[in-house]
Amino acid sequence: MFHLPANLMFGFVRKQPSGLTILNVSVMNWFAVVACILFLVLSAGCLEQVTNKEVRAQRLDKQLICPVCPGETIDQSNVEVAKQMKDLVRFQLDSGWTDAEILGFFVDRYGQGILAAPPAAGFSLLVWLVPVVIFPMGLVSLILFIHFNRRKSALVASKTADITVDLSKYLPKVDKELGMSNRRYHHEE
Amino acid sequence: MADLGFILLVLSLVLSVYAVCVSIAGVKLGQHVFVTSGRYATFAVCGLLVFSTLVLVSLFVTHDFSVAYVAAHSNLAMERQFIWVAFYSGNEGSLLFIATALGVLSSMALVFHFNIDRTVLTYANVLNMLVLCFFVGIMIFLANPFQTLDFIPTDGEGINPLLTHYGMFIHPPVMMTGLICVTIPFSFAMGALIAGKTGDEWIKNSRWWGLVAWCLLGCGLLLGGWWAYTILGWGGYWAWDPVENSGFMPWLGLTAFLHSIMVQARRGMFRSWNVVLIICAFVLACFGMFINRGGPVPSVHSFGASNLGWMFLIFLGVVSLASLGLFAYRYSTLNSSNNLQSALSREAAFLANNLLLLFIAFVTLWGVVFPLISEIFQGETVTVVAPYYNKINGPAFLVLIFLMAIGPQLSWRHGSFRSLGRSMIFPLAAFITTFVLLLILGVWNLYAVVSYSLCAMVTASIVHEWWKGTCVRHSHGEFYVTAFMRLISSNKPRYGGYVVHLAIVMLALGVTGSSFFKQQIDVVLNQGDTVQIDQYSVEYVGIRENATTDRIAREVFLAISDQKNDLGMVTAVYDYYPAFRMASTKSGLRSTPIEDLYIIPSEFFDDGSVGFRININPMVWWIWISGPFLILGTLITLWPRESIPQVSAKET
Repeated sequence: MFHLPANLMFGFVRKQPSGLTILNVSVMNWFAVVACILFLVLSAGCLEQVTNKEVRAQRLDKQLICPVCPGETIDQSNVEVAKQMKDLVRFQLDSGWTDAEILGFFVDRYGQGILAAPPAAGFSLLVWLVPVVIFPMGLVSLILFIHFNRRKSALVASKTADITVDLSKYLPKVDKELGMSNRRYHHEE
Repeated sequence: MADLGFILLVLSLVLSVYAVCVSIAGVKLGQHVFVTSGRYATFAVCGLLVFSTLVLVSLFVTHDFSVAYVAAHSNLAMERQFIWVAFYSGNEGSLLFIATALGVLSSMALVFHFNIDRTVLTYANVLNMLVLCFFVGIMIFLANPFQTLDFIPTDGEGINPLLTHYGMFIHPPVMMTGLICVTIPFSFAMGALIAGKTGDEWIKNSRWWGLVAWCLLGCGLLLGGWWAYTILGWGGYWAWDPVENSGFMPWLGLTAFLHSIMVQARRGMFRSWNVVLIICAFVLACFGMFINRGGPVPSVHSFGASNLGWMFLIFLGVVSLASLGLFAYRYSTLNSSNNLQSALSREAAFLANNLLLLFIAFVTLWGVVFPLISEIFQGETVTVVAPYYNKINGPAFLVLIFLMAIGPQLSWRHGSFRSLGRSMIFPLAAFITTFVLLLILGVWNLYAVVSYSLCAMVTASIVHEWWKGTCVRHSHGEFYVTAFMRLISSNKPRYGGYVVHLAIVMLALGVTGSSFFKQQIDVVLNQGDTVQIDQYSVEYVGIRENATTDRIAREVFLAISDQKNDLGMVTAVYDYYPAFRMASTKSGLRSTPIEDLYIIPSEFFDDGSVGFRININPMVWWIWISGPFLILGTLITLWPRESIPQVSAKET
């Protein structure tokens, strides 16, 4: 991506961008940002598969709430009911039940409140759906904000001169300090 | 004695109302004397509240069980040092603590501020006093800590045994002070709005006090985690419990605010947005207090529970409406003096940071209130705890860490991919190296690998920045250490911020390690038995039982060794309190930066065997070590700037 001529692709580098490029630029920039985010989220989703029975049991423990202690999972809790439930989970795993069957068993007994996170179905779908909808909305409004702000700033900039003092003679000095003396400057205009 | 305490409370209410009235009158009538009087009234309120706190503490010390609160939260058998804990362990006492903290903080805010306009300062103080009136009023009319009983019981009920832990000396006070401290930056902002001084002056004060509150809340949360880790005996430190969340949300709001005001200070932008952010932070802090005081959600933090929830709900509503109304009224004066010029700029990165932080705060809030919504509309109880937040907030945190690496490298106004690319070479190399290295080492959990690589990337970018700056100074003839110190002190907000970023990286290391690579076994051991977990073998050596008046204390001794070395003994303590039918466990812990071996005795059988839960919690050490760095970073940031030496006319 860095090989592309930056001035062509991202018009804001030094020159004042024309109206059309602004739109293109913001789309390109945000494409890159979204790609980064997508990469992170997708790579986060690929979790390893678990076969070990005790690890599976502990994972289930963490998904079940202890019925008598508010807000604690049976993994955290030390009361008798929690211990019995833990034993039951292990027994069911030994009998070859799937995770979904085990969780379903407890939901039938105690209701949805027994699950540490509500299922993504029915009314409880909302708890998952709202964040999933809110985030893109926030992202879109952020992009729109930046887009319109940039257009405004371009309008303002076209009316006023950008730099009044020529600072370019200081740039090589700064670069020397930073050990980037090989950088070349394109003095445009 | 109890009457004295109550009278002090009434006096402080009267004086704070006086301070409010006289300050407003002073500003409106232009009478300087009135304003000064309001100022002194504030100091007096602070003194009265401190005095009243001392009265309550002395009632505890003298075991005056004629006072209901003392009888309910202490007894003769308890250790003396925990009297301080008992003082704020219940609803009334913690209200008194919060009121006192606010009294002290608002007096401090009157003294330590940045040459702010007198009107703004006065209005800010009025708001502080109004909040204080609310708390003192609640105590006087609804939850009097000095309420006496009709009879004098021979002994009190005692303190909740889970609270007899040294963490409790600091965690609750720091947390409560942090929550109430959010009032100060909020009232500086609102004071500026009321006075119509909507320039950039207020953010200096709000920033300073916001940082104080932020640091207090951060430390409070960490200490709470440490307490949970060492005493609650489930091997974790953070459960996304509603009350934990309610301390976490204002912290997130403040984090967003503290980042966003940098843009206002530097570029005069986001003026209205920053007001919204500080309102958010304060409203979230109020929401936290509402949840804490008998909020409608079940939580393990039922210590301060009461039936005052509705009062706090009303307070929350009034605060939100009033501040948003004020904001709307002054909205037209909050224009930005600049526009955002590029999506690839520091300003835009800060906006993205705000978006993510607010998103995390929103998800957390949504998770806390959703059970209520479900209850109301469906009549069905649901529980929302850890798995939900981990799934949704986890990725958001990762993106946030990514921003932490990239944001500080972006330049203000508009950056270019070329210069960004140049400054990102080193961090990106760190990312890729860590990524590949971890995969080669056989760490296949991609979530964790990405998290670690991002941590490496942030660290690399910070170290690179420091290194570059130090080298430049070194080339001017400074010794490396001096150069580094001078670099830090040359721009304290910036480099202090980097130290805080490093602390967050440490936190992320610990959280990642302990969430993904935790090992756990539950075993029953007889004396002399040995169990193997990973490379460790743990031997149950013996037990010492000791019954005192209020508890049965069991100390369990365990010998640990790995394949090569004997790693010594650890002691786990299991105290059972018959009166509360409750046990507090202090885990046997061997902590190293790589991993913690964490042993809790969970059950004692009649035949002498003991049930243990043994955990290996990788990298948890880093979570606790991040605390000092967080404080250090905040201190550097808060440290006043040296007066800039006058440049003589000849030089220019």
